[in-house]
Amino acid sequence: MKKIIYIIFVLVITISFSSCEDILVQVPESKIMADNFFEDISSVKTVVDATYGQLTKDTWNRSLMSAAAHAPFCGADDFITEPAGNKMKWRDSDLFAIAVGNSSITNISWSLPYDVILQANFAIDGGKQVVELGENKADIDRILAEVYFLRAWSYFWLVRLNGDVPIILEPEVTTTSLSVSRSSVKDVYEQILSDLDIAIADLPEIQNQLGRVTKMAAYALRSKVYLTMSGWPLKEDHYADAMANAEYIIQNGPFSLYENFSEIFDIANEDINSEFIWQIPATDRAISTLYSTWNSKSTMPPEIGGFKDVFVEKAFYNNFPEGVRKDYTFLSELLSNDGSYVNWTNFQMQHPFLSKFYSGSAFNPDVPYQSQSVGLANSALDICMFRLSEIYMIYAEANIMGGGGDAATALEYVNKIRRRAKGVDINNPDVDDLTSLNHQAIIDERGWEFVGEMKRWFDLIRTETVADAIAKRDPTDVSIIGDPSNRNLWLMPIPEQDIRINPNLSQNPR
Amino acid sequence: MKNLLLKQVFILFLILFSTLYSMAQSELSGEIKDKDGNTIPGVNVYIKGTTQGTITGFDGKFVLEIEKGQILEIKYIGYQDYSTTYTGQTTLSIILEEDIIGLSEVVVIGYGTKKKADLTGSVGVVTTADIDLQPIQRVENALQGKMAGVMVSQNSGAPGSAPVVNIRGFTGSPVYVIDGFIGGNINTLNPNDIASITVLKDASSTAIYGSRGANGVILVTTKSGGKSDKLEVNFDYYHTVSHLANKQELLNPVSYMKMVNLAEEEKGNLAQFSDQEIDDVERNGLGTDWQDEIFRIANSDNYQLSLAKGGENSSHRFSMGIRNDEGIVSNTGYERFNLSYNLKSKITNSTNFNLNLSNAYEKLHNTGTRVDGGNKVVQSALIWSPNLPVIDPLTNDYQTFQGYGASVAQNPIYQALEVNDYNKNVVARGKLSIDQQFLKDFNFRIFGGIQLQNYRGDFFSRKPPGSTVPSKVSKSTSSTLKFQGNGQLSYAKTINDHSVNVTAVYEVLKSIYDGFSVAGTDPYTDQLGIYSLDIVENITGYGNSKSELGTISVLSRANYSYKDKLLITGSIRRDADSRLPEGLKSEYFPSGAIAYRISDEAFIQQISAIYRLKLRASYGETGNVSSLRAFQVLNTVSDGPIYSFNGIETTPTTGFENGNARANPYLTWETSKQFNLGFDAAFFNGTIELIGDFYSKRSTNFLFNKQVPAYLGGGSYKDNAGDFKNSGVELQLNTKWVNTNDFKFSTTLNFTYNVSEVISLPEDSLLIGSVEGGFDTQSHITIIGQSVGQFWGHTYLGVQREGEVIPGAQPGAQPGDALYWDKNGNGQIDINDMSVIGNGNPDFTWGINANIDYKAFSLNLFVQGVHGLDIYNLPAHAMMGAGSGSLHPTTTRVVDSWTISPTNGTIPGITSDYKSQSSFFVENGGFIRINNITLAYNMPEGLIKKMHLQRFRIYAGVQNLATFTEYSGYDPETKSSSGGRTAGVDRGSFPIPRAYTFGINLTF
Repeated sequence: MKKIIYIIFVLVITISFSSCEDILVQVPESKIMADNFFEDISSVKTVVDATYGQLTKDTWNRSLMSAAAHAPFCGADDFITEPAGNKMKWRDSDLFAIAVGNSSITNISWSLPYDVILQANFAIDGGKQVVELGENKADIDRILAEVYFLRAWSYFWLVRLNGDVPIILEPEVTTTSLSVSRSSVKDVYEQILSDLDIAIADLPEIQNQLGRVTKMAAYALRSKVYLTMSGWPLKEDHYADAMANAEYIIQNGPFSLYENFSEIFDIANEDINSEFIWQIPATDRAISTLYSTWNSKSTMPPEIGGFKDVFVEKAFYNNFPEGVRKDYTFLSELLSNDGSYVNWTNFQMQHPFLSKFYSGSAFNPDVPYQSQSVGLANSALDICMFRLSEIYMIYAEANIMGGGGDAATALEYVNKIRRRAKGVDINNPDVDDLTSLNHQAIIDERGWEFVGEMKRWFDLIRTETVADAIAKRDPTDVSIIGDPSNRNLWLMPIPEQDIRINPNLSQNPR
Repeated sequence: MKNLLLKQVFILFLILFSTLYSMAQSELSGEIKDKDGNTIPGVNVYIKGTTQGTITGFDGKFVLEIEKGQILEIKYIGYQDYSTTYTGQTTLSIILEEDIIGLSEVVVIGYGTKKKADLTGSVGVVTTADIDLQPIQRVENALQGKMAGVMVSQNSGAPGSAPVVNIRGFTGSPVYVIDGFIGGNINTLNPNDIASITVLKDASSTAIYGSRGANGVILVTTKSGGKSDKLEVNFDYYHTVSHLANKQELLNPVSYMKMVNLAEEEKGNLAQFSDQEIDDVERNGLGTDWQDEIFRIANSDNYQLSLAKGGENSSHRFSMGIRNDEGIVSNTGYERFNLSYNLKSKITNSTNFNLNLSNAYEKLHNTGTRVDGGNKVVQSALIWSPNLPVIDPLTNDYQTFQGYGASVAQNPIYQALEVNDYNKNVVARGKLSIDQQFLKDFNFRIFGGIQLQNYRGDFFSRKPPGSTVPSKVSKSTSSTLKFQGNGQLSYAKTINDHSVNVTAVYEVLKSIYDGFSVAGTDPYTDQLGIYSLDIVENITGYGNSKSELGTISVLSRANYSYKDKLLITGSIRRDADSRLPEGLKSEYFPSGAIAYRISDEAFIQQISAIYRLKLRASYGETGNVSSLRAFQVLNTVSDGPIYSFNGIETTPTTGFENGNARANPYLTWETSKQFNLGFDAAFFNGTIELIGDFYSKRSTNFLFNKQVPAYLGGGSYKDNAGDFKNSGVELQLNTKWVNTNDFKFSTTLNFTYNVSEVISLPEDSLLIGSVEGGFDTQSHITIIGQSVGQFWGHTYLGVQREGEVIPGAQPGAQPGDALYWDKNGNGQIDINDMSVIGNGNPDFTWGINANIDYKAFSLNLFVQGVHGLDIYNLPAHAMMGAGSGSLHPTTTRVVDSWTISPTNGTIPGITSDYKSQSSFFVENGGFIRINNITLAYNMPEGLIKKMHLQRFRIYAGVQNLATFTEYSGYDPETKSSSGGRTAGVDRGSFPIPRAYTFGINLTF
C-alpha cells in the first residue's frame, strides 16, 4: 500500500513538474496582438473605419451628433441656454466665460479631433506595413485617402478652435510626442493642405457606402480651408484657391439643390440626398448609441419633454428673414389641446427652439403638446457636414473677396438660396432678390441658411465680427460676462491635464 | 538568555537526577487526555514542592515515582493548571480542561496548523461559536466589526451583495483560501459550513502566500464530521423580515410644484405649473411617493440541514442549505442552494485522506449596478417628480419625463420592474488531500483542488415608455476553471526542549476563463422576456473572451521553539507568474518572526495578575498578484468605436490598445513590506485578555493609471508608480465579567487605528478616480506626504447675500449664488481653484460584542463604529435639482435656501451653480451602528432529553436597529466606491435594511 502511494506521489510530482513551465507563457487566444495586427488590406480597412468611429464615439459628450458638440460655439449670436441651472457648458460658452479645465468643452474642441488623428496615424502606419508585406499600394492608398481626409478635417477643427496646436503624425506615444510644443497656425494649415492633396489624389469620386468621404468632400473641405485661411487669424489671401475648389465641385459634382427647403433635412431623403456632400450617418433606429441628441431631445422645449439644452436667441430669430426656411428652422409655436397655438413668447423658456432637424424624432407638431412627450433622445437623422448650398456660398464669398469667378453666377447662387428660403420658385427671379453682393450679406445669409450646422461661430471669428453680432443680442437675454471682442476668448482653453503631463504646451490665455 | 538556558538545563538535570534516586517511592502510570479524548504529548508533570517530574510521551503517557500524599501538578500551555493529591493508585487518567483563553485551540495557518499558543504572527480567528451569535448571509459578515485590523463594509444593502474587506489599511482585497484552495469562490460558500475563519494580518503570516499575500489572507475551514461516532442531525431555520431603515425627507407634490415654479421664476422662465394644476393635485391628493413605491417589506427564508458522523477511522459530514432573500427594493432578490460533503478517513495507520466536495448555485436578481449608482432605481426614486403618477393615464404606460424634474433618470417603477437582470453562478469545488507519514517524523501531503464556476447572465429591458428605444435582451456566459496542485513535505521533531518543524511546498496554480455573450434588440413581443433572443429584430452585440493565468511556486517554512516559550518562524516563497513580463517572471517573498512567552519566566510568574504574556515581532514581504490582469503587459488590439456606413453598424478595430487598457511591457505587481510588533496578554486567570499590535506596512510599486495626454489619444496605462505607507494600531480586549454556570457575561472590544501616507509618486500629486457627472476632474487626489483617499474639488464658502463680501470667494457673484474659493485669485472659478476637500477612508473603527448568558437565555449585542471619514454625497446633488439627472429639487433641504429666505437661507438659491465637485456635497461619514441584538433561548438539558433532542434553541433578533450619524444620505456604510485611493463616493446605493430575524436550531 505504502509503496503504491509513494509511486503515485512520485508520478504526480514528475508530471506536474514537467508540464508546468509552459503555464507561465501567455497566449492571448481571443485577442489580437498589436505587433502582428496589420496583415493585409482588411486589417487596414477596419482601422480606417475606426477613424470614422472616433467622430461619434461618445453619444452624449464626444460625438459630432451630440448637443455637447455645439457647446464651443454658443458664443455666436444664434443660440442661448438657461441663465441658471445645469446647462453650464453651453452657458459658459454663450457668456464668453469658458474657464480653464472645462472638460465639456475640451472634449469637443481638443480630444475628439485628436482621437481621430491618432486613429488615422495608426491606419497610415498600418498601410505602410501591409504594403511592405506585399499588398497592392494603389489599393491601400485609396482607403488611406479617407483617413488623410479625416486627419485634415481634424486639424482644421483644432486650428480654428485652439489656434496653435501640436502636430502629431506618428501613432506611438514617444518621449518626443510627450514633449512636443504647439505648432503655429500656419504650419498646421500646411499640414492640412498636404493631407488634403493626398486625399484628393486618391479618393474615389463615388463611394459605395454612404458615410464615406469622396473626392468631392475633399474638394469641399479644401475650399473651406482656403476660405478660412483668408480670414482671421492667418489672413492669407487664398480666396482664389477657395474659388477653384468650389468651382470644381459645382462643375463636376453630382449635386443639386432641393427646390424646397423642407426637403433638405427630411429623413426620407437622407440616404439619397442630392445636396449632401459629406454626412455622418445616424443609425436608422435607436438600436445603438449612434444617435443624435442635437437633432432631437436636446434642442426641444420642456413642454414636449425636451432637455432645452440650447434654444434660439431672440434677436437672431427676430432678424431672421421671414419665409418657409424660418418656419421650418424654428419651433415658434406649439399646438395646445384646446386647439389654440402657444407662441414662443409664452413657452416656458420664452425663446424659440431649433426645429430644423426634428424630422425623424418622436415630435409631432400636429399633436397637442400636452399629449406628447418625446421620450428618449433619439434621432436617426444624419448630420450633414458639407452640402452644395455652402459651396455656392463659398463661391459667392470668394468672388466678392477678389478670388475670381463670375459675379453674376455668384449673385445667382445666393439668390437661389434666398428664393428657396422665402418659398418661391428657386429658378425664377424674385422681387426680393439681391442685386449686388457684399461680404456682410453673405455672412448673414450663411448664418441663416446654416444655423445649427456648426458654421456660424467659425464665420464670425474668421471675419472678426463676433462683437458686432453679439451687439444685437436682445437686452432681455442674460448679459455677456466676457468681452466678445477679446480674441483670446475666441479660442478654447486646452486641457490642463495635457499641460501637466507635457509642460512644453502653453495654455491659451483667457 | 544564555543564563536562562543554563538554568533550564540545570533544572532538567535535577529532575532526572531525582527521578533516578527516589527508589523508595511507588510508581504511578498516568495518561493525559483532552476533553475530546485525544492524548496530549509533551506535558510537564511535577510533584509539588519537589524538583521531581517528567514529560508525557507521544502517547500521552507518563511514569512517575511518587509518595502517597504528595501533590501531583500539571502545567501545560493551552490548558488549565491541574493538581491532585496522590492517593496511592498505580494508574491515573487525567483529563485536562482547556485554557480559558483557548491557547490550545488549533489555528489553521497557511499550509498547516499551529496551536494558538505557538503563533508568532498577527492572526485573528473566528469560529463557529462566534458565527452562531447572529444570522449572517455571507462569510464576510462573520468578520464585520469582530476583529481589530479587519474592516468590512457592506457597500450595498442588496441581498447577496459582497461586502468589501480591507485588512490593515485600504490597499485592496484580501485573498480567500477555502480548505487550502487559493482563490476559492467566497460568494457561494454557505456560512453554516464554516468551522473557522483565520485572518492572516501581518506579513510573516501572509508571506507564505507570496504574491497573493499583500492585502492579507483569509483562510476558511469548513466543518468536518467531528469525533463523535453518533450520527448528529442539525436543522436550522430562520426567517427575516426587513424594511427600509430611514426614509429621506422629500417635498410633497404641492410643495414640489411650487418649488419648480420658483426655480423657473428665478431663471426668468415662465411658471411650469398653473395655480389650477397645483390646486388640482392638492385637492385630489395626486402624486406619488416614489420611495414608498420602490421599497417594500421583504421576507427571507433560510434552511439548513446537516448530518455528521465521526469515529475512529473516518468522519463524514453532509450539509445542504437553501436561502431565498427578497431585497427591500421591489423586484430584487437572491437565492442560493448549497450542498457539501466532507470525508476524512484514516486509510492506514500512517495515511490520512480528506475529501471536500461542494456544489453551490446562486441567483442574483437586479442587485449590484442594476439598482445601485447614478440614475438607477434608488437614486431615481429620490429625484423623480412627486406630482407625477406611476402610470400616465394618457398612454396607459409608465409616466415619462415631462420637461421638468428628473431628466436622465427614468421612471423608478419602470426601472425597478421592467428591467430584469439575472446573474447565476454554479460553483463546484472539489479538494482531495492525502497525508502520508513516514520515517516517524516526516509527513508528505499531496493536495489537489479544482473549482469550476459557470456564470450565466440574462438581461431583458422592456422598451422604455414613450421612446423609440426598443426592448433589449442579452445573455452572457462564462466558465472559470481553477486548478491547484501541491506537494507538501513536512518534518517535525522535538528533542528535549527544542522542537523544529519544517515544511516545504511545491505548488502549481492555473486558471482558465472562457466566455461569450450575445445581445439583441426589438423582439416582436415582450412576452418572452430574457428568452427573446430568437425573436429579436437585430443582433446588436456579440463577443468572446479567453484568458489563462498560471503560477508556479516553491515555498518553505521553518519553525523552531525552545521550551515552548521562545518561538521563531522563517519562511520564503518564490512565485513565478504568467502575468509578469517575459524574463521578469519570478520573485521571492521572505519573512521572519519571533515570539517570546515571557510569562513562562519566573519573574513574571511572581506577578499574580499576569496570567499569560507573549511578545511578538515580525517582518515580511508580500505581493499583490491581483493588481495585474492577464495580458496586461501585452499590447493587444481593442475594439474601435462603432460607426454606421449605409445605416449598417460596424464595430471596427483600433489596431492598438487604447483607453485605459494601454499596455506597459515593464509592469510588475505591487509588493509590500510589513513590520509588526505585538503582544498577547491575559490577566486575572484569563478573565481579561488583551491583544495588541502595531504595524507599519510599506507598499511599493503601486499601480497607478498614468495618463496619456488627450492629444495622444488620452486614456492611461498602468505603471508601477507609487509607494504608500500604512501604519496602525490594533487592540482587542476580551473580558469575562462573570463566568459562572448560570450566569455568564463577556465582552470583546476591538479597536483599529490606521494612518496612511503617500511616500512617493512620479509627480507631486496625481488625480485619480472617476470623473463623476458634473465633475471637471477625477474625484480624488494622491499627494506625496499626505494620506490616501483624499477628495479633490471646489471649496464651498457659503451664500452670496446682498452687499456681503466673503473673503476668497469669486468676485461678481449675484445675491443667492453659491460661493466658492477662488484659490488662485484670477476672478474665475476654474479647475485650478480645487483643493483637498475630504477623505474617504476612516481614521479608526471599533466594534463591541457583548454576550450575556443567563440560565437558558443568551443575549448578543453587537455595536460597531467607524470614524474620521467623509462621504461624497452625489445623490444630494441630484436632489438639489442641480443637474446630475434632475432639473428641479426634490429635497426638503431647499426650505433653507436663499430662494425661500434671502436673509436667513443657509444654502444658495435653488438655481444657483451647485458644483457637484465641491465641499458642499462632502459630509461627515462617521457612524455608530447597533448592528445586532439577538436573544436566544436554549432549552435546558432535561427538557431536551425528554424530546429526544440534543439541542433546541430558538432566537429572535434585530439587525441594523439604529445608526447614529450626521450623514444625510440613506446609509453612511453603503458607498458605491469603497476603500483605498478612491474611497467614499456614494452614487445612490441600495440602503442596508433593518431586519428582524426569528430562528430555530434543532439537533437530533
